[in-house]
Amino acid sequence: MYQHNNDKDNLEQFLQTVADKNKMYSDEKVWNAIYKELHGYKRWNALTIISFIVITVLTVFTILFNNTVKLNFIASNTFKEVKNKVPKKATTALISENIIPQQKIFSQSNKSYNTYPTLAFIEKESLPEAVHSKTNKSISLAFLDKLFLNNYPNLNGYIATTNSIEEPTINSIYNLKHSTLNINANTSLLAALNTVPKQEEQIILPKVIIQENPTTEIEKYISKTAFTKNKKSAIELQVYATPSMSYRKLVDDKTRNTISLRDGNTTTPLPSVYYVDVNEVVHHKPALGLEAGVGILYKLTDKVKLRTGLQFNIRKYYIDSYKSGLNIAQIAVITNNGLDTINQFATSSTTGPLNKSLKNSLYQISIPLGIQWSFLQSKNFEIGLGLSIQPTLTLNKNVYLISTDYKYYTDGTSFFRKWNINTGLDLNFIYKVGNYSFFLSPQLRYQHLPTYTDEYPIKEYRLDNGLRFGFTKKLF
Amino acid sequence: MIDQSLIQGCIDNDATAQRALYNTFSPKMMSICYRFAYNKNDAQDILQEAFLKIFSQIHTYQFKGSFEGWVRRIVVNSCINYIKRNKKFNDNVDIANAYNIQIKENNIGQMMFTKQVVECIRLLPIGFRTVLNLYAIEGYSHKEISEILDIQESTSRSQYTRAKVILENILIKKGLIKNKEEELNWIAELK
Repeated sequence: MYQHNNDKDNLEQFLQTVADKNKMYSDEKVWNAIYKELHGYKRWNALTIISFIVITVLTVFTILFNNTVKLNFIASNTFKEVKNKVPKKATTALISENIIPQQKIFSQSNKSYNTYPTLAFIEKESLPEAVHSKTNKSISLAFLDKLFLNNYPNLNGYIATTNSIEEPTINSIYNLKHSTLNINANTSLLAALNTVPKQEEQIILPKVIIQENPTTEIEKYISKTAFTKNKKSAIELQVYATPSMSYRKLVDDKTRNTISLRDGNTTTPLPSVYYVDVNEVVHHKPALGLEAGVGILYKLTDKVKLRTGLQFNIRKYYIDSYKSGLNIAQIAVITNNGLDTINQFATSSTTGPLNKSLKNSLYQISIPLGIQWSFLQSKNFEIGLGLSIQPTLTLNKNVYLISTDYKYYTDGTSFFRKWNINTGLDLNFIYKVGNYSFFLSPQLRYQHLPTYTDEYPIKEYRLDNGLRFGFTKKLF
Repeated sequence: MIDQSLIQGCIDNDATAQRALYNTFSPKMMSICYRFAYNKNDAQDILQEAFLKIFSQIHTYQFKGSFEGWVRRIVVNSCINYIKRNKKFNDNVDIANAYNIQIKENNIGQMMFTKQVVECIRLLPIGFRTVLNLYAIEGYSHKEISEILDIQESTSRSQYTRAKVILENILIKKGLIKNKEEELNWIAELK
């Protein structure tokens, strides 16, 4: 018997030898934390740059495109009512001699229009033909700019000046019916107005339409929009669901066969038939999953929209396996520079007499970031393509992996990769009704990183086919 | 033998050299941490702290003596700091009860021999285990241990004696040590 009473030296020697031979491998997160301490957060540069680019692009496009002309038409019977109905946050305002048409200063958020205190209202007959045909016997009241008036000096109507557009209290009304407004590049609008007779404020107009328009292209826009009350929304809300089927492909990294075993490993968990394709060993059955989410679309141009949101995914598939007694599944693990073995219990095998179905299911949330492009558009229909990158976090999972000797299926939780990246590609068929669009979109979703961590040598790549449906509502 | 250029790379804060050094030493050092710590997570925390010290103090290494010994000292010191921070090294059990310590790790039987022995060491109460690790494996004297852990030298001796008896009991129970001849044969094989 081992002389454990008096042989101290022997025990120490024994323990020292054992301790020196023993090795353990830390998680990759330990090195990541050390690296972060030593070298900062450089690994997040890519994310920072991407965020910066996204924000910059959004800002630039907001500045460039947010001033898409928005026409608001307000029907009223009296001029007084018109004054009350001018929206406090006028989306657009044309006024003043200082405005250069190309300057897009008339956005909602831009308060500078307060400094351009002139209103103009023009009788229908005096409007250009393209406008005239759309006015429906109404009298138009428009916020006009100097250039517009310059282009149409013989307007047969009225011009009113106000303190501001936000609170359009009329100061004076000028009657252009019998006068010509002499206005040019060197003349101020107010100076020109002073040459025409003033009109009393208590003028009664049978029907008034206010047209707010930021540029001299009033005629163009009126003819295009034909008095529609719809605004061109930049932001849209989307709600959708996608029933989908999960497929997968396994790729066995056979390079492990060439990696030397670590000290102390005496067995190699390699398949005795490792020349066989692992996909032939594993019998996978796709199952129905679901993605559901809400998204926000941001309109960059008439054809291009940015897309983001929050999505919940359920992804499933089944593995045909066989019942076995309690066995040890050997898994070859590649860490750092060597090969190690992990043993786990298994009750399912790849061969045997009694069938058993294993259910692999994942519950995930993801944040799709993408773009949507409409290449075919008509009044009510649209066809387009969507592409999104989806950082995905797995919340809950029930997964089985195959042992690296291809004999057993065992719990894959400890090898599971929590974060992954997916790409979604969809073909959108859109039907538009008012502020709503309904869509049906065949979709492909590909998982870029293997389901399990790099330590596990058999890589699983997933592909989901689905049919996405839902609706989009214009917000503002 | 570690390449001096690797150490120089670490002194120059080169990430590749640091990673290579980490890959070289972390498995053995992790094993040390694991012997001292309560669990694997704690062991990893100690390992992280130790390697941060190693990389920040590596310029003080004089290229004399064993570099692994220098690394190991830092790691063991980190382990001791961890034990002190947790103030559990005074925990022990009566020797009578210690014989009844149950081996809860069901999967010990599946592990390699060295891992099994380490797991048996880890079954010891933390006070016993710390003294045993320092005295029997790391080669500290009872006087040094008493200073490090701020305990009496006699306490260190008695804890070691108890630890040794309990550990031998566990090893025998697990069938890891059967008799002296087998043991000596095993050591000879390892060498």
